Amino acid sequence: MTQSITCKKVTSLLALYIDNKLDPRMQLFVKQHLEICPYCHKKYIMLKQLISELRNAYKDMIQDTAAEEKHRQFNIKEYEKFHTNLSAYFDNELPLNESVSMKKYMIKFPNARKDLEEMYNLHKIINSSLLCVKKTLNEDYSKTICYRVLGKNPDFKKQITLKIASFVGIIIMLATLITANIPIGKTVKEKSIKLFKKTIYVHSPINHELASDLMQ
Amino acid sequence: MHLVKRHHKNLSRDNLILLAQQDDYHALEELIKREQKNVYASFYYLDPNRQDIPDLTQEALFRMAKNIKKLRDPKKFQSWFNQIITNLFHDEMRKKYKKPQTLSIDADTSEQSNIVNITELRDKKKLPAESTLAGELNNKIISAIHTLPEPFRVAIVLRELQGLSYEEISNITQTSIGTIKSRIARARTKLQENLKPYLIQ
Ligand SMILES: [Zn+2]
Repeated sequence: MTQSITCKKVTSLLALYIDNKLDPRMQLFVKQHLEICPYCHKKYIMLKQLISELRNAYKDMIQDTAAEEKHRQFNIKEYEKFHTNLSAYFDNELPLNESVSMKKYMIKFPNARKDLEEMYNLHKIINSSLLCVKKTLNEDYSKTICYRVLGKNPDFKKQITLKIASFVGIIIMLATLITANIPIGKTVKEKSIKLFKKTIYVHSPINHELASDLMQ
Repeated sequence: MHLVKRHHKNLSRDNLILLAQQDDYHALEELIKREQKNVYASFYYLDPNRQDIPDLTQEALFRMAKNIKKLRDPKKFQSWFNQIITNLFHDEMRKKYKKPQTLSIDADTSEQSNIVNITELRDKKKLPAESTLAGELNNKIISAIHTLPEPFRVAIVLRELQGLSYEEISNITQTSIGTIKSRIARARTKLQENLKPYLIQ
């Protein structure tokens, strides 16, 4: 029983003993026990090995991190390339191979996607702004421009009234000429009919096809 | 007459162009109706002084309407029309400033120097929606675009607002595709810096 209690005590002190962290009296006590107890000695060997393995693994890890740091510094150039190409990638203006490597880069570094999202957000707010600005134009220039192109008076109503008045006037005159039994020559009558059809063609704003049928 | 007009409203832009080229003035009218807001917005973003925008808009529409027969392929309308708009804008700028503004910025084709802010934005008018949050953001966006130097502003307007390809922008501005690519990238970086709080979600 006393043996077992000592073993328990020694086991709990083993880690400190390996690191030499016990006071000299206790250090000696553990040392002496290990010399006489094969059970504790075995535990001690196992623990010592485990600790040294852990320490080595930790050292490796530190070295790896340092290497990775070096590697990451190298990647800043890669990131810069990514960043300068991002705008053209967004506009679908990159050659296929470069576009593929952009995609690969974003898979490797998911954070890089955020840059792309920000660019998309910029695109979205610019376009919402565009809609706002478009709404501020309340005038309609279409008629004014059309008349300017035609080289005519932009006063639309005046134009139309004038057109209709002359159209009606000429038709009435010609119709009277044709239908009335005024003794005019055959050639004059034919000329009048022709002129009548022509008037319809020139002045009618819509039925150009109908008018051209009449002309034949 | 109304029937004809209603018919035009359902036509694609390409078809409107084809009809307008054959002296169909209803088609031309409808085409102008559809394009005018876009032209107006273009000048709104291009010209930081925002003077004579209605005049510029009408002049661009007039030049488009007058020359519509010269456009061979309706598919190239967007690019062709933006050439008219950009030329008109540059002519106006040349008239307003004795020295061309582009000179100092074009000297940095090495693309190394920083984008300089144009500080004086004279007669800055605000949009009516200014008081609302959306209006405030809108004004921020507009002034962020206005603070870009002219070549960068033109490139970003043609790309982001007009949706033109780098090749088309390169033809319009008589600049290499590489320069356009870099100008758009740098304009975006600058806009992102200025609009940062509105871009993170
Ligand atoms: Zn023991």
